Amino acid sequence: MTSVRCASEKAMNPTFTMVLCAVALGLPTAGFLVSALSAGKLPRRVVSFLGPGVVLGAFVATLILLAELLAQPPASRGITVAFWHWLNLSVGSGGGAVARSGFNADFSVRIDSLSVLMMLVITGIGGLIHVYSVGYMAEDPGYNRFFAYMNLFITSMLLLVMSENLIFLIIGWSMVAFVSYALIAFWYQRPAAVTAGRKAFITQVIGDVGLVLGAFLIFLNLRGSGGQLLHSVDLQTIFANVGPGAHNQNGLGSMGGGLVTTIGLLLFLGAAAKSAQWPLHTWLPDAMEGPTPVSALIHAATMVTAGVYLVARFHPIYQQAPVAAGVVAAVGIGTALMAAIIGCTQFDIKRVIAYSTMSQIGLMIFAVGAGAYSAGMFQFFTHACFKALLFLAAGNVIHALGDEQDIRSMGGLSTRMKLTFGAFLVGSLALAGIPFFAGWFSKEELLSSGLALGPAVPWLWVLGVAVNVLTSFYIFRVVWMAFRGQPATSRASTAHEARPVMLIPVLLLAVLATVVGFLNIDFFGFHPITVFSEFLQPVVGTPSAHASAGIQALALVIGTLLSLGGLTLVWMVYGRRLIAADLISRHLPWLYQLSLQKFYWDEIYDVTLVRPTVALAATVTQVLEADLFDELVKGVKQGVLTLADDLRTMQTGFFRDYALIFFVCAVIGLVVLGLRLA
Amino acid sequence: MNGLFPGFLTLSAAMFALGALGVMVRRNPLVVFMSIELMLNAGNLALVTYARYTHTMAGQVFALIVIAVAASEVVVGLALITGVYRSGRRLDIDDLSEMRE
Amino acid sequence: MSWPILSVILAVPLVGVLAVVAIPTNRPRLARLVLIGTTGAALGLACVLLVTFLAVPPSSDAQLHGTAAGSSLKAITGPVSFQFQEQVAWLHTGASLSATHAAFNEGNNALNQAGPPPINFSYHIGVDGLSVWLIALATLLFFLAAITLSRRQPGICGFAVLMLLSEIGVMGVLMSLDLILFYFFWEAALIPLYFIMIGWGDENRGRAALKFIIYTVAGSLFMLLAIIGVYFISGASTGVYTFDVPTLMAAESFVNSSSGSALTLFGHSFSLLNAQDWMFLAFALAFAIKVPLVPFHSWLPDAYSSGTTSFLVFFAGIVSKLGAFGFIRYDLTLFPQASHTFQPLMMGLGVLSILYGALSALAQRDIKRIVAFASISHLGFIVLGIFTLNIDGINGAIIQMVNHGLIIAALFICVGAYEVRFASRDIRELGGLAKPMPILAGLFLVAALAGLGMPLLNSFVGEFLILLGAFSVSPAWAVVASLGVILACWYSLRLYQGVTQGRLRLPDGQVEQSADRAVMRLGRLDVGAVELAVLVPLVALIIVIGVYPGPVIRFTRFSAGQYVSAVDRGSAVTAATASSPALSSPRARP
Repeated sequence: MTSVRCASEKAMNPTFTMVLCAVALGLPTAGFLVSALSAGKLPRRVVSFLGPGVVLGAFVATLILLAELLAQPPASRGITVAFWHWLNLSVGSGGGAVARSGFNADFSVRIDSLSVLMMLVITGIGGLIHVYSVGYMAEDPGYNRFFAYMNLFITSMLLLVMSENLIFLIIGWSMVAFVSYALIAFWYQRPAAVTAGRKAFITQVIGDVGLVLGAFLIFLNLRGSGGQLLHSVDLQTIFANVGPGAHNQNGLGSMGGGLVTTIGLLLFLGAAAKSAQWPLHTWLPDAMEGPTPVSALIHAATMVTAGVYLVARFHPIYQQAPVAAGVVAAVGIGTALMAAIIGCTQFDIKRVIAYSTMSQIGLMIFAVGAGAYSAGMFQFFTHACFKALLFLAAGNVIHALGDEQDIRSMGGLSTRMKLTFGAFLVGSLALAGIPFFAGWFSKEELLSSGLALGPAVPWLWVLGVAVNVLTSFYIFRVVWMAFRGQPATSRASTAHEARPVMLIPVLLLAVLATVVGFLNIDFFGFHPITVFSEFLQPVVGTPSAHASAGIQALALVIGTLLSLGGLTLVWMVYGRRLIAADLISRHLPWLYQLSLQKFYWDEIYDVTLVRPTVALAATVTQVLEADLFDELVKGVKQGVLTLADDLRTMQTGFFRDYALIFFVCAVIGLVVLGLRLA
Repeated sequence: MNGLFPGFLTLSAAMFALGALGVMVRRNPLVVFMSIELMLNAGNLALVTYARYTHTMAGQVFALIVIAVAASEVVVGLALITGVYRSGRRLDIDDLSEMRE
Repeated sequence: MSWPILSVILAVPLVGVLAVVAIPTNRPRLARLVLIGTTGAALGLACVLLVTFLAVPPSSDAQLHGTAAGSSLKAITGPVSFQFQEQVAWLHTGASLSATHAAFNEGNNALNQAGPPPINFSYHIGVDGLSVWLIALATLLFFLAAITLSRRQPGICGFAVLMLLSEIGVMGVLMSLDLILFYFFWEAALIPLYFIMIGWGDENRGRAALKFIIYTVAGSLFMLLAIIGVYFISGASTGVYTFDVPTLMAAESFVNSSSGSALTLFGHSFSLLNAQDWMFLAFALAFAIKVPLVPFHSWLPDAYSSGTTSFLVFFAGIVSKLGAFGFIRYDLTLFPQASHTFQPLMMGLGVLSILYGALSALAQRDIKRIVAFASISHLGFIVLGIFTLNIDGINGAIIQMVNHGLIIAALFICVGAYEVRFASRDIRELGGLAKPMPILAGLFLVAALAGLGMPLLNSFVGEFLILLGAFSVSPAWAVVASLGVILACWYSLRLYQGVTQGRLRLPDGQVEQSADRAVMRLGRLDVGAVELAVLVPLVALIIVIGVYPGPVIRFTRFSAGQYVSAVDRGSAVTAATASSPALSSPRARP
């Protein structure tokens, strides 16, 4: 094993890779530091170039890394570059009772196809969104602060995906949570934004705790091939040793055992919080209080997909824990369905897209849970393109309408904002899985490979294709209500197309959303194009099972038909008005209310978690603190004062009384002493 | 010499009792002070006696310390008494009861 | 080091006291300058001490004691070792008298029958890898507190004298290696603190000060009894009556103490707890009150909410660490077996403090009380770490002691800054202050984030290690404790967002006609030079330690290892008696 790794590390030039990684990480960091430390004094013109520039610079470095990676044969595509001995605690191990080695957390990065893919999306899509922000945030007084946070986000996210050990993974994981909070609450004078930011941060911390506890379990229990405890936080070491081996003594215990299942579930707690999966999903819709570029970058394209990355990265553990992986898949598909149902009734354009994000990530989580890692990551890749596109196009609309987000107040925008409309349409087609747009390729591949893996998965597949019809329904509902029909307000009738700096990134993303799907066409048994899955194969391997060509074809046809069916439904409801829009709300009011009220999760958490905690806190303060501890202290004080009052009568003020008392006591003492001695 | 030890100790006890009685019954602060000196010197006598008895120096050292303490005490006490006298009050300790609560 | 640096550090504030006393009270600015100069000099000396201490690599010591397993692995077992020791005999009654005792009791065992054992205590000071960091922290915080001291504060001369006296006390506690000396400084530090508390602060200060002094003195009293107990019992079992800490640690007199040795001393029969247990508890009570642990905490919120900022900087920053320091230095080393016996209790109290403090912080409306309860929660983490009794937990606790000192000082300066400007501590009356005062809000944000354990800020590593240590002892406790992390996020954000974010809110009567005018007016109130001079070093340290904790951890880890090996002597005994019942109860079986 070691020799293979050595060989692979010789294949890529470590120094060159190191420089590139340093550039990719260093540029956004430098951008953040300059913007932050100048405390708003930097001219906007400088920031307008600095902010996007550093991210695009990092993108260039990533492209060179990609080229370097592709130049290698697949087996040797992977290198670990150690920068810095950040924290070395293994000095603590010695003989005797203290024989416990601490961890050795180097600041080292892992460059392989998975991390480079993530880096490409983060810096590439991120760069486009930065450019877009120059236009979107132009009038905002917090311009410099915005770019400082955005650059910090890029740094943190890169740290998360590049990290070679658990510690830095956790560090990046928590840092993106903070930046996400800071950007959601960017307009900090809006109470709703402040509350949304707090909610997001607290939910993320719950996930962080899960991740940290999972890391503890791995660190304390991982055994090497000889059965010795490894005490490693190094990802490659963990993955190389995770198998149970011959006697179930090494690794993390037996296949499917309690330990590895617990680890899998704890890690998924972190993933669920980050990726807005049930039960930790409620923060994402509220996060739309942030500026739209933030929603595009953090809450659609990159950060929320970190959970998918985590499960894909830790797939050796999930392969050992089928129960945990099953939970992941089921939660993913359940969230996808739930979010899609909610998306059908919302009126805030950003919230619809947010629920769509939640739903799509649910599908990805389903895929990685089921074992179709490459399909899940492919969905992540195409989704990043078309969801960023949707958000930015929506941002153009919102900007043109003066921060109006309700689709009922829009309408008829397709004639006034032709390019934005075209881009939004492309994004919708891709999202809905209409043939030959990016989403079609990835989603159908995801569903069909999901179909092949695992016993319960066919049932989950049925739910998955149900998501298809809902997806195309809710997104084309937005298209119809916002862009077709008559303008609902005067502002909507006088809207103008966006500035070029906001339009060009959108159009570029529209092109991407059309073409990236062709990277992987893997539906039928014959003559597939598998550029993408081959690229990821060195890291995640190939799926353990494939459905037969016939079943794949059937699944494809059913899935595509359902997507088209959703589109037709919208056309009949909103275009031709063949079906009344309030059909559901009249005949199935409970379903409509359930969807409109987001399945009441906010209320449920409010009643079961928030209020009890606040009530407990109030009880602690008002009952324990006030009635117990304070009364205790007061009681002691009262007792002493009463005693003192009683003793005061002895203070006669006559010296001779005191002397008498003194001598009498002394005599008594002497007598007692004498008796004791005798 | 050894036979005299009980005598010395008895003398010391008698001096101490006299001093204590004086402290308790007299009202003139100067006399009270003299009584206190008497008690201290009774203690000194006992200390020196025991030092002799045990063939150690500790008791004699302590006696010296007691003398020093007594001297400083007299300084403070006489200063107080003088202060009271100069403020024009009668020298009667029963009258000096301002410290009563 | 050829000159007695520790004594010099102790003497510097004393010189400052004399200088301030000599200054006439109508020259408060001069007194303030002397105060800053003196505390600055102490800080400089402490830095010299720290650098000199660290220049001696721990490995050289380890190779002397250790059993190095491999060339790269340095063993860090071995006794707790002190450096820069100074010892001057102070009160020795034993040496000259013992000869006469022997002469008087010829043929008898002098130690058993010859009257009282000799009193033997000395001015013995020294530092190890635990205290050297706390000394550096303490001098830093006293220096920053001196800078924070407002020029307009009434009675600066008195404040300066009391503050310097308490600095001497705190330093003495950290340096002393003799139980009597330790107790002397421990109590001596209280007195100036009490007078500062009743002299300066808000209208509740009298009550707060009384509560504080009663709590702490009551705790110390039991500790004094236990110190005397240690002296007698250890002397009886080893034949050497001493208060000297290194001697007592080396003597291992309590490692094997059985329940029998306690009976004669107390005159009662304690069937459940032996003497070691009682003394552990007595020490622990004093330290638990000082830390404070729930349920001994009720003096703290009052004290913290009524104090002035410059007082809180050093009071919250370093005085509460003395309790945690005492746990490590005295409870673990002198009573290793009892430490194991009471490990579940102490860990439970730590977790209780974490949750209780966090929940209370959530319910408070007074911003200073929020920080006060947050402090209780953080200190619960430290105690939890100490009583994991493993190297990760203790190491994390030591780092966290330094970290918490920095964070709590920064938080109190920020919160105090808002209080001074708006004459209100009610979180409902403040809001949106980031708009007019962005720099203060930015610094406050860093401090608040550090408080909730944000990575790349200093407390992340400490809390991570503490939780790791706790997890390896008891996963259940660690999971419950990590709820405290979630609550920490909640109350920190509630505090930070409540004051700086949302709509601009000011106490009644301070609102301008238009929000823009309010922003203009308040903009001039953003941090001044003095606050900047204090906050920037603190925040810089918070970030530097967070980004690169390596050096701090490397050196504290060595010390943590020594304490772990000290406390592990107790577990070895427990294990031995448990594994061989025949040894402990041979008479029970006929």
